[in-house]
Amino acid sequence: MMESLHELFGFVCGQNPDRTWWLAGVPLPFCQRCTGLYTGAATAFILHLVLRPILTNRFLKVHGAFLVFMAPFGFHWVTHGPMIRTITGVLFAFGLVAFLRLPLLAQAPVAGPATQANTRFYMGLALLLILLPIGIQGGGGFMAFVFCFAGLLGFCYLLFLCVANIFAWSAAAWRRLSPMRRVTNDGQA
Amino acid sequence: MKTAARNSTLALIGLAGLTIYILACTSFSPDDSKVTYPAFDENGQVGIAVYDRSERNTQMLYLPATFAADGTNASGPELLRAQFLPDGRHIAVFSFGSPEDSGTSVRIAVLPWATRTATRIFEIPELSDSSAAALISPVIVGHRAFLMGSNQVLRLDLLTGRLHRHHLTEPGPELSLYPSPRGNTVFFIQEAQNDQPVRFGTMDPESFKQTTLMTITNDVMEGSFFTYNNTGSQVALVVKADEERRLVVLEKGIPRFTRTLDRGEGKLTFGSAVLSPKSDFILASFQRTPAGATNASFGLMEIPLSTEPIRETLLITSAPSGDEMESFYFQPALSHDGKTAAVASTYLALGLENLKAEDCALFLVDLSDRKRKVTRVPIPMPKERNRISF
Repeated sequence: MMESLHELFGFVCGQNPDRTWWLAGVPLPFCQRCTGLYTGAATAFILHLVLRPILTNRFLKVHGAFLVFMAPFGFHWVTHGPMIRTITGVLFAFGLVAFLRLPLLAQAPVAGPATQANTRFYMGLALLLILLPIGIQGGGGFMAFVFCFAGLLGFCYLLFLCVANIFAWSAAAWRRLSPMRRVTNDGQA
Repeated sequence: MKTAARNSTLALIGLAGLTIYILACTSFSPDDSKVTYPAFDENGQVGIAVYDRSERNTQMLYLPATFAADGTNASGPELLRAQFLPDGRHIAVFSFGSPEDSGTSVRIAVLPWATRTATRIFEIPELSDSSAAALISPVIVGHRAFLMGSNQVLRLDLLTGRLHRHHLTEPGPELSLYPSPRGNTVFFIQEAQNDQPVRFGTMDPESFKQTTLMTITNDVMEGSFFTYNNTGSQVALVVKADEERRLVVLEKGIPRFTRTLDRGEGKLTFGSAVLSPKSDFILASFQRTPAGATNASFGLMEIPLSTEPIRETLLITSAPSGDEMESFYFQPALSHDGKTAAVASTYLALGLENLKAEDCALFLVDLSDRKRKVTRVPIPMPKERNRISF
């Protein structure tokens, strides 16, 4: 199964062995940053599903900052170590999930204060950032399995979000074009 | 509608960010972060070390020693050439034996790097001319190495050990195999014989089918380099004409670009050269001995394929020299992004008795720096070292 995961993630990750976490003597199928990305995406999926945070403007601004925060580390403008790579991946994933979910939701961002759900959401993120290094340092076969499972879940969720967005944009474009075609066909509005 | 447009815009930003992330992640490979080079151990044996550019440390990785049947000391240093395989998880080290040894065998060690797999060692006898092969970078396509045997081409799978011998049916002089810059095909040169000119072409790594790209009739200067682009459509070499040393770039055998390198004063020989990834300049190692002098300089020459001035970066000055062929043992490598050149003077230290200790080093030249900053990674020279004669 690990080989299949290595092959799958080989399409989206450089899998640099020097920058990959090794658990139970085996490298994870994704690099340190992608470990954060995909486990972060999986965690964000669960937190959004269970807690249903309100998408306030502040919420979106914070998650936008998570996306931007990746730039200096992803482009190596700032020297950093392995754990920072993973953490930036987590934050980036949370930003991605928040933004990619937007077109698929009925609600619009509100300007109100953060609710209890939002607070719990951020606590969930903080808990992940605390538990992640512990899990990595602890190592072991069980943790390797957890990371692989979470990584696969996160990958599938991100893929779903991307495909859903492309589909939604295509549908919106089709709807916009359709009235124009009806006018063209029968000459009447 | 406004909300929908804003949501779509934010989602688009997210999608773009993810796309950039994935593209960047797959290009951050270890290729340019590590440099393999020959180095001494404390006993004077030559081995292969790996220099980590980001960590700025060196690790000795491979140290072969062959003892004679009736001796207690290891025999002469072997010529070693090492290269990361494209997967970044293995290093292939080719040992061609001592230059004094006219043997025709090669030993190939495949060492795991940052992975736990077996070390494989292959010994292949009866190659056509292993000493000549030692002066060329190993020919590796994917994880398969290509070697010339006696009237046959050998293809060795470095990860499985499977060996395939392809017997050459076409008559003529033997071929010399050359690597492609991107490691996706095999080039060959067939020497001139009788009325047939030098033939340069590609060899399909699967079928071994040879395709002639061009014939070379130029009178190549002794000590010239020979380099080419990834498709083999461009070939560059040095000729001597009217006392001038001239670079000639051929396309399909026809000179498309020439420029004068110097006026032919003193001695100038080249080790090897590489064409930049954008084919806009040639990086060559050189050895220059001024007329009437006994000391030579070694360095790197950047030759733009335009009218831009040639740039020389001297790395070793006033080295005691006696033989122009020493430049063959001073061969550079260029990083995949074309921004860093690397060359080690280990074998010069073996051949030049009075080479200064500070001149025995791995030199890393930052080609993106206006002043061409040189990082010198010392290779400690042992007091006693087995010598080789060039």
